[in-house]
Amino acid sequence: MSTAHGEQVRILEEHVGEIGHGINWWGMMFFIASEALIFANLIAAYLYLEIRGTSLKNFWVLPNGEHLDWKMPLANTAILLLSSVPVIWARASIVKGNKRNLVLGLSATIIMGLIFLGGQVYEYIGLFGLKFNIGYSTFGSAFFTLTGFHGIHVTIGVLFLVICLIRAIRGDFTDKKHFAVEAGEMYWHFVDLVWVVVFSTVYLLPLLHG
Amino acid sequence: MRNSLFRNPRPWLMLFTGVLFAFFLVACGDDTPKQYGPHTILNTAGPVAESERFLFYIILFIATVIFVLVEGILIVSIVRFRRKPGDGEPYQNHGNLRIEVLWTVIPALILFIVLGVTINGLFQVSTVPPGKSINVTAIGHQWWWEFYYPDYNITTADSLHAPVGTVVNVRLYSNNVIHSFWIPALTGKTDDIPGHNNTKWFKADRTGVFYGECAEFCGAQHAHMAFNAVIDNQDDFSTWVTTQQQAAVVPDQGSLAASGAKLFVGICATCHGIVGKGTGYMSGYQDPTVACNDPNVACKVGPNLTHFANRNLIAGGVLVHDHDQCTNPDNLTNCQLAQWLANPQGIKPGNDMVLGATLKPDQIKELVAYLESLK
Amino acid sequence: MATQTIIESPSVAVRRKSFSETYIGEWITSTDHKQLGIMYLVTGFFFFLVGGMEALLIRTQLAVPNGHVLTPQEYNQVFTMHGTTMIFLFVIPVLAGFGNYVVPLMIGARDMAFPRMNAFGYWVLFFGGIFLQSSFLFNSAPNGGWFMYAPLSEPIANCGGLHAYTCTNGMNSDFWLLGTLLLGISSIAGSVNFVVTILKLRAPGMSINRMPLFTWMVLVQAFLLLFALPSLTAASVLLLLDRHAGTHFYVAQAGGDPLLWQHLFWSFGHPEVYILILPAFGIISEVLPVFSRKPIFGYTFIAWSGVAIGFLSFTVWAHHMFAVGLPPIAQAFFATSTTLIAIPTAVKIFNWIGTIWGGKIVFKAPMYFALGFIAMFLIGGLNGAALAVVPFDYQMTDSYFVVAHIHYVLFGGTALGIFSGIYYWFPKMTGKYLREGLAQWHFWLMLIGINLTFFPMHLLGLLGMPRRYYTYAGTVGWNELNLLATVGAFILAISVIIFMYNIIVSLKNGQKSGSDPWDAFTLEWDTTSPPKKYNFLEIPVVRSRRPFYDKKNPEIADWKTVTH
Ligand code: HEA
Ligand code: HEA
Ligand code: CUA
Ligand SMILES: [Cu+2]
Repeated sequence: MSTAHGEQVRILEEHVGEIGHGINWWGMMFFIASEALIFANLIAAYLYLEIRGTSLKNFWVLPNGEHLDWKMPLANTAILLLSSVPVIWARASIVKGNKRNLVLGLSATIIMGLIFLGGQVYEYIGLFGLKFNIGYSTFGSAFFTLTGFHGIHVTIGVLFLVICLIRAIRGDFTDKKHFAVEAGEMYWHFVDLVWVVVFSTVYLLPLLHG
Repeated sequence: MRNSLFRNPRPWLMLFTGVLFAFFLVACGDDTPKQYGPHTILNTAGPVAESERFLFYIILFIATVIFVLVEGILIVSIVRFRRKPGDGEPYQNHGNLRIEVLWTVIPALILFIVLGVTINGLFQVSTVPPGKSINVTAIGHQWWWEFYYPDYNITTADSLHAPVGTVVNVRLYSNNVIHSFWIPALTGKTDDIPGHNNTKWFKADRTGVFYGECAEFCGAQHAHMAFNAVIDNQDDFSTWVTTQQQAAVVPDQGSLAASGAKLFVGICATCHGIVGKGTGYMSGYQDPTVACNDPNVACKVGPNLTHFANRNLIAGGVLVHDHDQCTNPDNLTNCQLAQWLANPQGIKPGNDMVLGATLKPDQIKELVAYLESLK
Repeated sequence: MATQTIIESPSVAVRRKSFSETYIGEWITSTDHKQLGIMYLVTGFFFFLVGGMEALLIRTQLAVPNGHVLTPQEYNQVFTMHGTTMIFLFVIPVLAGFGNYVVPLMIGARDMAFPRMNAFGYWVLFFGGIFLQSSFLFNSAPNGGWFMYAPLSEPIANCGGLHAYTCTNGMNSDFWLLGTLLLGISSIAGSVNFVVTILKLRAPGMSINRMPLFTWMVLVQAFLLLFALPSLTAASVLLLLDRHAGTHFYVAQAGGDPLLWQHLFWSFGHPEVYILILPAFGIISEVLPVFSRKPIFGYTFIAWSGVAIGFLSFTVWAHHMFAVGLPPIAQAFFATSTTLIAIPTAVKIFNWIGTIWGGKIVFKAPMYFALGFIAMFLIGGLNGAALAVVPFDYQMTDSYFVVAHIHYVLFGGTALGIFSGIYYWFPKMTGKYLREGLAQWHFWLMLIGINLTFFPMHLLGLLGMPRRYYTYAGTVGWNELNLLATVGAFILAISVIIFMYNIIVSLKNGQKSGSDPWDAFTLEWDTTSPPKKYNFLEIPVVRSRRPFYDKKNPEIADWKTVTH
């Protein structure tokens, strides 16, 4: 057994050495890839219904006949994008073994993530005020499903980072052993990038065809 | 168990391929009508179904050739390269580029030929030819077909009437679930999808009655959503149209039919329209594609029965209607209409004809008398 | 990083956990790829029996016209669950089982990359399966067909519903949607595991183009699952929202579109069908060479045609939708892609024949099934190609011709491939042979059964019998062929029972097989049967595509004679 164990070590280290990233990194990568494809499908569905909805009757506007307001969401987008800076910094620090900056970076990201979610909730409430909800034609259905699905992912990302934060404060991570942080960072970047696409589809695209 | 029969697979393989060929022969054997039954795609009655069958014969031929070749080579190599006692290892052959290219290119070529005829046929079938034509809207209900003729403003059910040699432009409409319109002898399927008013065309070269079915799974009674395509010559069709346009016959006072009419207005009229005069009757046919989406119009759930007496199917073909069997009120044993009225849910579980109370025999008599009077 | 993996390394994990002494407890808590593999296989086969029972119900109902075995509502539940069970609970788990058991051994690894995730995947599948079948207890099994077309799967209000049966009312669709979501999660976990294992844990010297073809096909299949399942997930989420959150995605009356479901479903559904066949291709590509005593013919072509099929399978989905009224030009496109996909499949078939050609064929159970696979899959493929002839498909879509196609590829193909694999690797898993005589009864009965059951369905299609009919009139000429199919189904049942009997007696007192019963070529045989927890004492070093063959014949080793 122990020889076997030794083998395992050899094999694994050999492979880890071989190609840059370790198996966990690849695992996370493929998991994210398939997550991303769920969004791809939802966005495809969104566009499909938009084209259909606008061609049938003009389904694709708010009850008051206007387009979605994109300014506030744009600010929100900026916050979400910026939030990936501290998380990168956090990872970079723990690689150098700097646990204090890890905690700081994580906290900063979490706060910005929460602000983003707050902004989304605020926007939703505004829209509900306009009688625009998930039951309002296919537009409402598609809008709240797509943005809501993303919101859920942001929430998951935040929880992920919170757990990392707790563990970081407990001092679980070292410069050698901190994959959770790495994974958290990957997931967070993923959530950011997806949002850029979602934002462009939902808010910017309608501006093109006025 | 170690039965010597199994030592040698040869006879088995022979037998089994023999069986297969037998099947193939059946499959492409001569197509005298009757032999295949009424629903077959093989004895066609119109250009659409004909070009579809033509493509079938092409692919059947190619597939059979390939089948014989490949299975043949397979069997030959199985038989020829069996290990015999004392055999050593064979020559270790890892592959051969030339052969690979060969058996990539050849099937590719064949396949592209197939693709060519496919696409050609595809556009052929989808382009409506010039010439005289009529329009029909085929409305899929659960589970029966309603046919509305916008040009003549008439509605009928279960039987699609059309003149021979005329292009029939069908508009496919459904406001419930997806159905699929199929008349094997005349045309392949096109789905009846809510929100997509698909259109298709077909044309019959000979008169006759051809079977139609619903081919998209649409719920409990998907199996009982048949209809007839009744292809008449031009004159018969015109007379049919004019009769359909008449208001319903009003039975003379005191007759059995007259009391049937009363019952009908009381029990049936909420779901079944009858175009006629007096209270409880419809003023005219309604276009179901409009009526059933317009809350202000009373949409009739059931088939319009104005001229029921000369229809030959009941409730999506679950029963057949034979006028002569139903004319004698005192003997309705072979009148399937009477059976239907007696127990619609038993005959077609789940259909929409739910009677408050089962009809009494004499009520059925009266209703049959009335419905049979509706020429 | 590395050290962390060690902690997860199975040998350790297993030692830690399974000192839960009990036999059961050891299986339940196991994260060993071999145990999980066997659990997958057993579970999958159990569901094969369930799905088979449902099939027998279908066939008894249709044996004679106007059958009264099942009510319409029951029939719809039975055929829906038959399709769903066979595809999601029989084929997928069994193939995952082979993959789990064999792949790490084939590539000289000690376990899968993520043993715990592996166990997680299995248990999600297990409970997902139970959940789906439990719907029968509530008498609300899914009844919308295995592709759950909207709006039939919508709540009543959403399909212009005036009356009770407009849509499939009740919880039925919810069971299907939630069940398949669970199974999807399980498959994603499994595929991530396979991809990483195969890409990262191969023994030294085993380059990608030296991997056994089974491993190749599992790799392609894993990618297909990763990239196809999201479509199903998205589609199901939207339908669940339609059903419970008042959205209108598939509701035409409110601007939604039933076709959206069809596009999303089939852009999963078609890759799915290759997901169901590729590993079977792999099994065949392992068995044929060993029993022909030759290396596989055209390794590179078989491997890359698999990849080609994988890519193409994402471009053909609308060949399931030829009758929905797409513009002709779109139909022409999908006809083309569908035709293209036949080419790589052809390449495989010809290379398999090339493999046995010039060999010295040893007729053992695995070989019988492998050869049967080629013969039967060819038929399924050819009538698939026929269905790609669009105007002919207008006639045949949703008819029994399609049902015939399904079963020639899935039963004549996948299922025969699976049985070949079971006979081939059973000695590996148990150290015992399965009985040859019984195996041959099983094979010949099954071969005859398949053709008796499914060939008549081609003719039924041509005679205009639509699928999903719970009954038919006696006057339309379908009686004999239906009866024939039913007889065939029961012959199949007998063959399956013989197989089960074979398993039982062979487990009890099967003939010992030793570690290398077939004089095989690949690494999984280069260790004890059954292998120890850690698989190999010494991780082998690979120098060609047939490492074990080289080891046994050093003087004519592949790495000396050929360059790869
Ligand atoms: C294992 C699963 C599997 C496999 C491998 C295939 C393989 C193929 N399938 Fe099939 N298919 C299904 C499973 C599968 N299918 C299922 C489950 C359905 C029904 C879903 C449902 O509705 O319930 C379906 C339905 C289906 C349809 C829709 C039918 C309809 O509903 O109207 C079509 C249409 O094009 C089709 C085509 C094909 C083609 C062209 C192939 C090709 O890959 C076949 C290629 C192989 C060959 C062609 C044979 C070998 C080739 C040669 C020897 C070369 C020479 C050949 C020629 C020149 C023709 N399939
Ligand atoms: C891998 C996939 C697979 C497999 C193996 C099978 C196997 C079989 N299938 Fe299935 N089938 C499908 C996939 C499959 N099917 C799919 C996807 C559909 C479409 C569903 C839909 O339309 O939605 C379908 C639909 C389908 C139909 C069409 C239903 C309809 O449209 O109305 C029919 C009809 O005959 C049928 C029959 C059979 C038969 C007879 C078998 C036989 O080969 C079964 C053989 C197995 C057995 C007979 C089991 C043996 C078990 C026992 C003997 C019990 C012993 C038990 C104990 C001792 C505990 N199948
Ligand atoms: Cu209507 Cu099936
Ligand atoms: Cu397909």
